[in-house]
Amino acid sequence: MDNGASSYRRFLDGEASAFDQIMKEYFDSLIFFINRYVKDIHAAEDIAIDVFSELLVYPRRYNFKVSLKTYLFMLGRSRALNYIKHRKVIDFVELDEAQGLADQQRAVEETVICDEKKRILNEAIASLSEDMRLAVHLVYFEDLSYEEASKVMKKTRKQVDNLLYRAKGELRNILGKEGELLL
Amino acid sequence: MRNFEERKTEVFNRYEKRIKEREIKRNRILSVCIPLCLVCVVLTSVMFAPAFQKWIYTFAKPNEEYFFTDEDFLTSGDFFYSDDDSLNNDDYESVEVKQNDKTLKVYSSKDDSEKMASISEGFSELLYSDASDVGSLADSASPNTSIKEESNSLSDNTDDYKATEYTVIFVDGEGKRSEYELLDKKIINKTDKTEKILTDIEYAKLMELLGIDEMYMED
Repeated sequence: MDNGASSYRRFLDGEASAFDQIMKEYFDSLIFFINRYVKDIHAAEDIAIDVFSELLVYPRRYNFKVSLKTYLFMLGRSRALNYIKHRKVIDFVELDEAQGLADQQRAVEETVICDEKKRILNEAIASLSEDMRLAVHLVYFEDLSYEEASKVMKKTRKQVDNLLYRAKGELRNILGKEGELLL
Repeated sequence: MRNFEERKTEVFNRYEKRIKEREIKRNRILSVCIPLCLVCVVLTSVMFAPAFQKWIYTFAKPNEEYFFTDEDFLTSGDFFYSDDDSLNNDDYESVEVKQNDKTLKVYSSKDDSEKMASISEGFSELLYSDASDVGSLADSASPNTSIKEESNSLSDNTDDYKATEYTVIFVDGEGKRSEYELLDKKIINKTDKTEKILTDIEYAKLMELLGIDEMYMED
């Protein structure tokens, strides 16, 4: 499994359907990941669209040294942080609208997290710190390796290792003995 | 939330928009940068052309034909020799000639400005003329060859011959001293430590300029 690199190579060779395949495969995961930062599903979708348009504008920037998924997540992270930095005004939403947003968010979660165990884990990691949450997300939900997760988070492998170790400890406290089976 | 087709359309719309923006940016940069570069090149050439001419003049041989004339060079605003204070004839107030710490002659610009000018000019010529050219002159037959022969015979015949050391000190109006040491046909600028070995003809010419009759001195 090359995490999209071969599809991207086909896209560079001129196969238009390869891009559709990449989008289908990674769009929802990317929205879900970006939403961890921005906590706004519409903004996350907008950023994800931006990331994919960047892939089209600068097709040769991706150098195949990391998997395409890692590259997309790296772009997504930097754009999400940029979005947070420039988001000066906190938007207030109506209660009905908020309910709708929560439903949409849940719908995305359901497409990304098919597994019931992972769904329980997803609810539990909400109480973790942001870095731990992201590390758990990348490693346990997106099945990225520690190296890939460290590249996305711009941390060393050791730091990711430590974050996951501490996250596991906290999750054990939250979930009890059942939690150990989930991780 | 958009469906897949809407997302795809949005991605391609943004792609086209960004490509257009990029082209506009590129054109804007080119339209600003090209004239700016041209202005820079023109300014640089105007600023550095005289210095470059000077540089060519420094390294070119004196008897070569130049692309520009001496007159152009002198009117270009900066004269090569003006860099070196020691060679500016008008600045000097006096010249003192010493032989082994004993003052032989003192020339002052008040008393003998022509002599002063000829001494400093002579020093300039001797120090900064091309050695190979002077050498070729020295090799050719000239009436001064007799001086060379005489000085050689003198040095050969004298067993206890000791090189005579002359010191020439130029003092300018502000009291700044430029010191030259002449030791056995080697002239040393003590300020910038440059040195040059003189030919017999040059040496004789220098002695004549300084008004030293060496034969008489040694007798």
